[in-house]
Parts: sequence; structure tokens; C-alpha cells
Amino acid sequence: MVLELHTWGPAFGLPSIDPTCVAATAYLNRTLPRDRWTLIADYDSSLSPQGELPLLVDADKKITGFTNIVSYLRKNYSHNLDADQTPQQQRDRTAFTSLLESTAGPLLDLYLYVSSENYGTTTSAAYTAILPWHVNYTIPPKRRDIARSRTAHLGLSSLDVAQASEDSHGPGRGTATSDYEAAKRAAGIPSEDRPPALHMGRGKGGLLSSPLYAARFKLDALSKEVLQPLADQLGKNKYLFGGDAPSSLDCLAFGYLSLLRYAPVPQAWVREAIQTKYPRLEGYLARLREELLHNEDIEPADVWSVATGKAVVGDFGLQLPWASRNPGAFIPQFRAVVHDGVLPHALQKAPTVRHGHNNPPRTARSSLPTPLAINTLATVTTAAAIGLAAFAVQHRRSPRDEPVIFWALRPLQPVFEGFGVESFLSALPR
Amino acid sequence: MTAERSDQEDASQSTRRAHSTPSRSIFAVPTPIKQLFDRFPLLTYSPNDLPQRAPRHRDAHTLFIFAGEKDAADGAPSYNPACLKWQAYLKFSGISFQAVSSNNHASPSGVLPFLLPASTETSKPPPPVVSAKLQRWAINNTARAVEEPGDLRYEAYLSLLDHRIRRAWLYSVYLSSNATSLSEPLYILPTSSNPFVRLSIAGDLRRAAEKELLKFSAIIDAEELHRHAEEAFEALETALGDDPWFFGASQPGLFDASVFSYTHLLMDDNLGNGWTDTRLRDALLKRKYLTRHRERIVASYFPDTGTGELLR
Repeated sequence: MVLELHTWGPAFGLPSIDPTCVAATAYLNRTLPRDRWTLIADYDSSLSPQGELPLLVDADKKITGFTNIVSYLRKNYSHNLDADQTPQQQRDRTAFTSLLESTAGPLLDLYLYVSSENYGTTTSAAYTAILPWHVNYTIPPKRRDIARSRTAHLGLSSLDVAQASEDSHGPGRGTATSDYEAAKRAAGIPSEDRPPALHMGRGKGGLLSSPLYAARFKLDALSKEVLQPLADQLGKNKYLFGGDAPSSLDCLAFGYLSLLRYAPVPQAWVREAIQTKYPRLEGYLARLREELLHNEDIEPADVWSVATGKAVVGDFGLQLPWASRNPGAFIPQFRAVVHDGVLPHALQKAPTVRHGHNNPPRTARSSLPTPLAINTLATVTTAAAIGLAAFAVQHRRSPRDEPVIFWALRPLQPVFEGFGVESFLSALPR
Repeated sequence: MTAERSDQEDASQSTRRAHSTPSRSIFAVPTPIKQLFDRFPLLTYSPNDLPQRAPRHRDAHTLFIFAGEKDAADGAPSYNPACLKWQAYLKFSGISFQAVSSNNHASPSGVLPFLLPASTETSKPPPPVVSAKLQRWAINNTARAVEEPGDLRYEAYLSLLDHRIRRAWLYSVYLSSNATSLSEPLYILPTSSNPFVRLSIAGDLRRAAEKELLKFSAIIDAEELHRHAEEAFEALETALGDDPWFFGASQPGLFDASVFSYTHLLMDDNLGNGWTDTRLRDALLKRKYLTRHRERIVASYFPDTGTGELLR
């Protein structure tokens, strides 16, 4: 059976625009012979049970995510780059995988998505080359929103021009010139008309107080948080765990670092950091690119023609086994576009939570009002309101002369007199 | 002569005008009302006492955490991992402090815990220390500062706790069936007695947890989260090994406090109304070094918290 790997399309000369997809492609390319797998540049993440790419399809099995794909291949096909690792190295691999996801992920989010200059000039153009026209209105903005939410706690929204100009208050705000200047400042270009004061310090007017430099300090610190542990772990070795061959962790590190290193963005603080401060990582990346991907500079347009079935791999001499994707039904895609782009947030469907197999031995009773109680209360209130309104309408249409009496004490009817207490008592035998 | 008289008249007119101007101004208080208000205040009350929860013992450091009122006063561990981490760390550093039950609205940064340093002068209290700066503060304020091991892999292992285990914890406490047995009695019921307010807070809490988890995956898959947490526990277990503290340190540090904050709460039978979804707890109970690590800390630093495991 030929394995199918679905990934986000290629960008920046790399096989995908997503770090874990690059990693999965590199891993499969390293472990499997070329005729055993195909690579499909896809964009429909609803194929995957987890709603994410990369997705490995093996007959009727679907596996999502880099680490799951690696462990699936290890169990079912005994293709393993981590075979000769010690237990110590295996648990280090878990830890470094988590470190990459938690630090390199947000850094890449900032670098490619949140920074509006990088996003506007590079990332959105890269998406245009790999997506059909209609999903360009939904997928890239959605991924950008997720990137924003993932990096919100870092307090670097000043990279984001749209938000930064909302944040700024002061005279002259909202004019075209001030917007332009704000955009330039936020994007990291020094503005000509007001050269920054040259006294250092964090106080008012000091060099360190300007958002541009403050952000730059934070960004450099963030890059260091990612690159330093990797550089330390690499040391003078060829690979992160030494040895002569790359491991799955090398593939994952390559996925993140290659996008950071090779994306041709205008604000290239990570690329500069790698080139100037971590020359070993630079050499390491070049070596991995050679070994894992044969140093191929992938052209998105070629892959697009292959993916849409207009050409075959042989036409362009592509090294990776690209294949055409299923055309996909238009209606569900269109529905997704409407759902994500048009519907207000309140009407969108709730996120999916899979609770899995779990039979709790006991269930706790909640002391909050149950949905039944809430629904009953709402129904009763609504019914009462409708009844009152209907009564008011009725009264308005056919008004009566005498006042409407809802409740009044009535004189006891003579019919009931026979049942009065006195008569009962008098009827008792003495 | 004529000129002189006209001068005098001018002068007298101007003085008259000067006298009459204040009474004509609209800002002047009319006489009867002024007389009425001159009688006030009729009675001056003595100042109110401070509220019960206001800080009193300002000569001791005060750590504001999530905890029951009584538990906080007894120095019992908090039921929130972030608070428990710093509570344990301050104990490791040998800093004496009093814990006070509080909530997020009280904190200057919007998140608990935070610490009010002791102050002798009431006029100018020192600024509160938020959790991000607590470590530096603790190092500056103790005689025996806890040294953090300079291990290469420190950051990597810390990310296991801060991401994999934290995410599984978020799911387990706020979204799984534990929501009614743990998060409800601990976080929701103490905040209000109104059922509708409680319901709305419960919804908010749940949505916040969902939103946090959805940042990292398109779908919240419990099995995936638990599998990741299990891998993380396994890695931490082997990293600890037979050593008393992580990374071969001679005394517990911030990393031990971080591990303890999750392991203690997961192993605590008396947390809230007890665990109903025990998947995460079971994953931990299999790890004997981690469970011993937790019991070691409870025995040395939280001796009053007598739990079943210790007596066995």
C-alpha cells in the first residue's frame, strides 16, 4: 500500500508552509523509498479527524500530527530514525519536542503571521500560490488569528499594525500621515521626520522606551530562548543526539528552523540571529536540507500544476513524490467559507470536544441549575410574556367599558351556603 | 470742586458695587441655605472598621492565593497549580509568609498569586510582587537562596510541565466530568450564592479553558491530551530517577515546586469533591518516583496536611 501524506503546500523553496508538515515530509523522505509514498499538497483540513495537517493516510487509517505519524511508522512499518537511542535520549526527545512546539511555534507565529509587514509581503503571497482563490479569504486570516491568540501573552502586538494603530491615542491620530507613520514605526522602519532621541534609558523619550526598540529586545530574547537550547544541545555534533544519522527530533527542528531561516521576510530578526550568532545552527540547517530534502528549491507553481492534475512529477523533475489531490466537493468547501467568513461568531458551531472512552465510577451531582430548570424557567417566562401581550392586543382591539378585574373577593354564593360550617354543625346529632 | 465730588461719587459707587457683587453671583450660597448647612454635621460618626478581609498583619509577607479561607490561614496547599507552585517555592526558600484566600480580581496583574511584601510604615506600602517576578524577589529576600541547576535540558523539561501537563490538567479539571466535582466546588460556588451568576461563571470558565486548548489544536481530543501528558510524566519520572530532587540538586528548587504543584493536586484525594475522571491521576499514580517526590515534599514542607498516603 502506498502511503499518502497530505500537507499544506510548498513555500519559500521548502516542501510546506507549516513546520510540522515540513518535518513529516522530511521524515518520510528519509525513511521511505520514493515509490512507497506520495505527497499531496492539500488545504482541506476537514479530511483529517483532528482537523489538522499533516495527515498520513494508510488505506483506511488516518494519522494526524508529526509525532503520531512517527510513532505509527515505527510500530507498523518499523521505519525508525530513533532506533539506536538510549532511554535517556528518548525522554530528552520528548522534552525537546515539547520545547520546540512551545517556543519555536510562537516565534514562528510572530515572525510569519503577527508581524504585519512580514505577513503582508511574504506569508499571504505564499498562501496565494498554494491555495485556490476562494479559500484565500478564509484560511490565511484564520491562521493569522490563531497565531495572534497564541502570542497574545507575549505582549508584542505592536508588530501588528492594525492593532497598534488602534492602541495609539493622541493628537493627530487617524489622519493619513499619522497612520502612515504609525505603520512605518510598527513595521520597524525609522521615520524620517522625527529622528529618535539619542539618549538611552527607559524614561519618557528615551531610546529604550520606543515600542520599536522595546519590541526588538523582546524579539531577540524570544529567538534566543529557542535557539540557545538547541545550539547547546547540538554542541559540536552533526546532529542533536550526536551519531551519524538524523533522528526524528532533527526532522522536527528542521521543520521549525528552516521556515525561520529561509522565509524571505523583510523584518528578518530570526534569520539575522541565526546567521550572526549561531553559525553552527546555520551549518546544521544546510546539512539537514541536503540530507533530508536533497537541497531542492521547490517551486510552488510546479507543485500546484501537479496537485491539480495538469502535470506529472516527471515534467518538472521534482525530487519529492508529489501527486494530485482529489478535486474535492465544492459545496462543503463553500459551506465552510460561509461558516467561517460570513456568519457572526455567535452562530458558528461550538468547538468539538472528544472526551474519549471514560466510564467514571461515580458522577458528581452539580449544584448549579440544570439545563432542564433553565429551559423550564425560560419557557414559563416566555409563555407568560406572550399571554400578557396577547391579552393586551385583545384588549386593545375590543376594549371594554368596565375595568378589567383580574382578582376580586366575591360574595359567597348562596349555593354554597348549605355546606357552611354552621349548617354542618347544626346538622350534627346532639 | 465739581471734579472732586464726582470723584468721590465714583469711588462710593465702586465700593457699593464691590459690596453687592458677591451676592449677585450665581455661585454664591444664598443666606438661608448657608445658615442651614452651617448646622451640619449634626453628628460625626467614628470611622468604620476595616473589612474583615483587609490586610491586618502588614509586618509579615502576604501571599494571595486560591484557597479556602480556613485552609489559607492554616498554611494548607492551594488548589490551584500556579499558586501552589509559588507557595511551595517560598517554603523551599525559607521565607515565612502568611497565605490569604483571594481571587483574580484582587491581583494587579489579573492573575493569582501575588505577594505583598511586609512593611512597617503604613503611609508608603511597597508595591505588590506579581508571580512573574516572585523568583527574583525570593532570591533577594532570603538568606539561603535556592540555586537553580544550570542543566542544558532544564528549559526543555520545564516545557513538558508548562504545556503538555498543563493542557491535560485544563481539560481534566474544567472540561471532563471533573468539572462538577472539582472546578465547581473550588472555583464557582465560593464566588456567588446566586444560581444564575454561578451558571454564567461556570460557562465562562469552561469557555476560557476551551479557548486555551483550541490555540494548539483544531479539535480538543482528550485521548491525545492524556497521551501527551503520560509521555511527559514518563520523561519526568526517568529524569528524576532515584534522586531526591530534580537534576541532582541538594535541595528542592523551582522545578521541584512546579512538578509538585501538579503531582500533589492530582494525588490529593480530598481535592474538591474528589476525582471522577481519573485518567490523568492514574497516569501519575503509576510513576513511583514522582509519587515519592511529592510525599517527600508534603512531609517536609506541608506537615499539617495529613493525607492517607503518608500514614500508610
